[in-house]
Amino acid sequence: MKSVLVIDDDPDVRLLLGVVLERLGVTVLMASNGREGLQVYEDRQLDLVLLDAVLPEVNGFRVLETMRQRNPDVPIVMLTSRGEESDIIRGLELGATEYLTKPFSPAEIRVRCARWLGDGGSA
Amino acid sequence: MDDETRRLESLRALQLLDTPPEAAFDRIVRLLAMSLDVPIAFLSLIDEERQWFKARVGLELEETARKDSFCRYTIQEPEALIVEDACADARFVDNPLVLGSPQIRFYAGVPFHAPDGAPVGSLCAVDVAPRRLSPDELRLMQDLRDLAEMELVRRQWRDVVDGFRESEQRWRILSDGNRDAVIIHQDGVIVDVNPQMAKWLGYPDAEVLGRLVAHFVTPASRRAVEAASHAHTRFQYEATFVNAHGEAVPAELLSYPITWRNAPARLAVIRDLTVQRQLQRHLEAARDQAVETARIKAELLANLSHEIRTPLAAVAGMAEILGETLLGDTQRFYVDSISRATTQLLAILNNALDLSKAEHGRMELDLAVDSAVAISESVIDLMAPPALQKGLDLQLAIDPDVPRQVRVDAVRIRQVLANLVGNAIKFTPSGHVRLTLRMASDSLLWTVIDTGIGIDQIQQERIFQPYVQADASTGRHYGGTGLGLALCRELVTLMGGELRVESAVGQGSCFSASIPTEIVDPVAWAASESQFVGVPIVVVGAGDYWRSILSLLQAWRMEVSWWDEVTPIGMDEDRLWLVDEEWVRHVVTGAGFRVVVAAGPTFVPPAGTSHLIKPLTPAKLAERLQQAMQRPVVGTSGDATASRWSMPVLLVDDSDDTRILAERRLASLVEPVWIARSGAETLALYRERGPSVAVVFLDVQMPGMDGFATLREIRRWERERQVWPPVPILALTAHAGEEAYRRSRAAGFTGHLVKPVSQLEMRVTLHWYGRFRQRPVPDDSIRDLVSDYVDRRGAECRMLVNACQAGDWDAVEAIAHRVRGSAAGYGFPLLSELAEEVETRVQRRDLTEGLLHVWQDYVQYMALMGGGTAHEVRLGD
Repeated sequence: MKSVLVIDDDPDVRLLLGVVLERLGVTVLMASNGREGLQVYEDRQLDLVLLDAVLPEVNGFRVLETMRQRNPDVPIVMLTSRGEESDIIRGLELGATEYLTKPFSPAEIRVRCARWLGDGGSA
Repeated sequence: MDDETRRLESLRALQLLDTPPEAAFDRIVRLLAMSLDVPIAFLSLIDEERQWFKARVGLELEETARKDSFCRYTIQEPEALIVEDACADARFVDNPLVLGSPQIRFYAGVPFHAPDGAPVGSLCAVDVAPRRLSPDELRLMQDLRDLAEMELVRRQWRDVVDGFRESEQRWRILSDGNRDAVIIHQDGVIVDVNPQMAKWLGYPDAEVLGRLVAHFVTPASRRAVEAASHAHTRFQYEATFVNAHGEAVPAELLSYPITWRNAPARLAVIRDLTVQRQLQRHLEAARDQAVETARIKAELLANLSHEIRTPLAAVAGMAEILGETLLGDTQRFYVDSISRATTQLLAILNNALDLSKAEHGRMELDLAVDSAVAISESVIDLMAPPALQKGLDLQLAIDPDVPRQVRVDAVRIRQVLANLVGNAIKFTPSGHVRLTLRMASDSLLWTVIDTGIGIDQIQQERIFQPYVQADASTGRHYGGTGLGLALCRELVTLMGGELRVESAVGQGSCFSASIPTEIVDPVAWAASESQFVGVPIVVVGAGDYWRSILSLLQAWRMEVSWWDEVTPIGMDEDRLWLVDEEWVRHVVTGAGFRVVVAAGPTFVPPAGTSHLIKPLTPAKLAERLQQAMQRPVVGTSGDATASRWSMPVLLVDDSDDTRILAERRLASLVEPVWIARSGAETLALYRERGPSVAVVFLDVQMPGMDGFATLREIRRWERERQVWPPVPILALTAHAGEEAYRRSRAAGFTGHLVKPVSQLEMRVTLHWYGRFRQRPVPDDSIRDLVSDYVDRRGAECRMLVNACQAGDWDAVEAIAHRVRGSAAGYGFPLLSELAEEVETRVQRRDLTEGLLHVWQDYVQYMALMGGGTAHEVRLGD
């Protein structure tokens, strides 16, 4: 089974993404701050990361940068309320696979995630 | 004084000279003549010139010259003068009384003394033949002389006694004739009273005399009476007496120390206070009555004002709508007059209402974080038209160090300042009116200075009293009710501050309101305009006011030069130029120069210059300078000239006037607008078209089924018919304020609108509440999560409100940011949009109470929807 890591400090968002992604038949791992997210990234083999930009401890861009240095192959999707052009450019330059802005539609997220996880994602 | 003078004085004090004969002395002289068997005896008194006979026997003369008298020698003798034969004595041989009648040969005299011991005369025995005087005879003479002297002493005592009788009589007359009761007591024992005392207490004298004063007073008064009995000075106190009928009689006593029959005593004048007390009670009752009447009047006024406000708001609204239609000049003049009059009336009404509220302690402060600068600016904007109309220069000068955010009641402060500035404009025929703001320790200090008619010293004390204008004729000349300043003082006092006035007749007035405040963000407000740092600017203007503008520009860290010389000035392209209209003719303008001219609205600026319309406010100044710097102005929200939304709304109001006004407003924004005039009509209409109605505007006060009842019926019908989502129902009320808002929500209303609703308010309301019911079907997979999500929003909403009240903008932003990210995902895109609006506004420090209400209302509405698990009815079909 494939694994997806959600890093977001808002429990409502984690809850929502958890339910949406479980429908894809994947294991969903959760982290509520940047440091915790990086730890999970170290310990586990992951297939997709959904990453918020504004995070306690270590902010999202910094998390992205660190993850990219360790393993450039895992798709990392920024999912954040920060929608300014400069933020989007910064995220993509640091190696984000995609940059999505909140608020988001659960159905849309599900469809997109299925695509990033490849055809084998759906159970 | 020599002996003779003293002797003469004693003599006169006897008051015997030249008085008729008196038996007491005649008897003594007669006795002497008989005892010595002499033909002549007399009692003589010696004054400066003569000897005068008080009593005499055998003598025709009443007096003789002193120099001829024997007695003038006698009074010098200690014992007696005895001349046995005058013809043998050298002193008397040629004396006319010896030579002629009565032909004295023998003389014996003993000195006669006044009671003080002075020899004033002598008692004498005379014979026409020589003889001797035996020692027994001399003693007899001396005894008789002593008797005469005793008569003098007796007389003196008689005078004393008579004087005493007289004075007693006098006191008697005084005390008997007195309306007050008088008693004399010694050691607290009554020794005498006047008749009034008996009349007053109803006891006969016999029962009073010899009794203790304390016996006639209540036990509570005894101590005071006893203390007064032993005092040594004049003493005033109150005591309650008990009369013969056992009734308590309040009295005031004035007690004097006196001497009564040679012993210390006290005389007390007792004044009955019964009437005075009754009067006092009447007065107190009258005062209570007056207070109660005032309270009832205030209540009546409050109710009446509410009643008047509704139709007045309709008039104002209609005039506004009428003004928007195509009108001829005459009609427009009429409409403008109606608008002005209604605005004035509303202001007076509100003043009266607020004053009565404040005076009766029923006004609550609504403290919130706000900008003192923005408050001042809004007052200037408000008062600009009347100032312009009178041709007055309205100025605003704000100290650059005023903190950015403070906690104040903006509405009340604005009310005070608008009143003060409005007053200044009213009483200033020409010149300027200036509003200034600075910090004075922990208080915001606003001053309103004018160059008006001024107020004299006496009137300065009165102007803060309600219904008083400096002078009745002033009222006639300038209009107004005199409520404004009284209200200002009440409001400022309520805010813990102080309102003062300084003024000189003919020179103008200065009102200053200092209002203590909590500083939320201490950063100087002027520091926030960072886009001007280092920008060179030349200010061309003069006077205090322009100096304040100069210090503002300096606070913005602009590179400022000041020009106030009357010489033509050459422009340059490198700098910004800010020029006062008075100085425009001195500057050479032309294309390429960046010139901002500060001038009144009717001023036609020279070509190529930019017109900054007075009165200047920092916001307008910043905007104009920014434009002149050719940078885009940020933060202006697009003025929507949007076409009408297609959104059925239901308007319920029983009063035609206010309904037509609201209908007119609604109709310009949405269609269709359905109308109901009563609760019953509303229900019928809603049952028919309910599911498609986007918003119900429901008047709370209706005869019969009122707004609350109608609301309950609508909800009941929705539940029965499983109509979901429920329709948002907004309360239309005359009551403003946070408390009224909470009441409406507690009653189950979705929101709360205060009549009359302005066009802008209506637009904002429809923008948000109009979409409450548009509920897209949530993603099936998360349906189970929604109700928990909605539950959590309640607590979060309270946190948001608290953070706003505390001015914790970081927390507000964090909540808004988070909710923006999640709400749409759970099927509440409107909440995400609302959160975004809040987030943006809080960043601009521009969050309004209204928007916060929308949030609270929507969160409550989400709960009402039951988190999306209820049955669904699609909208629009």
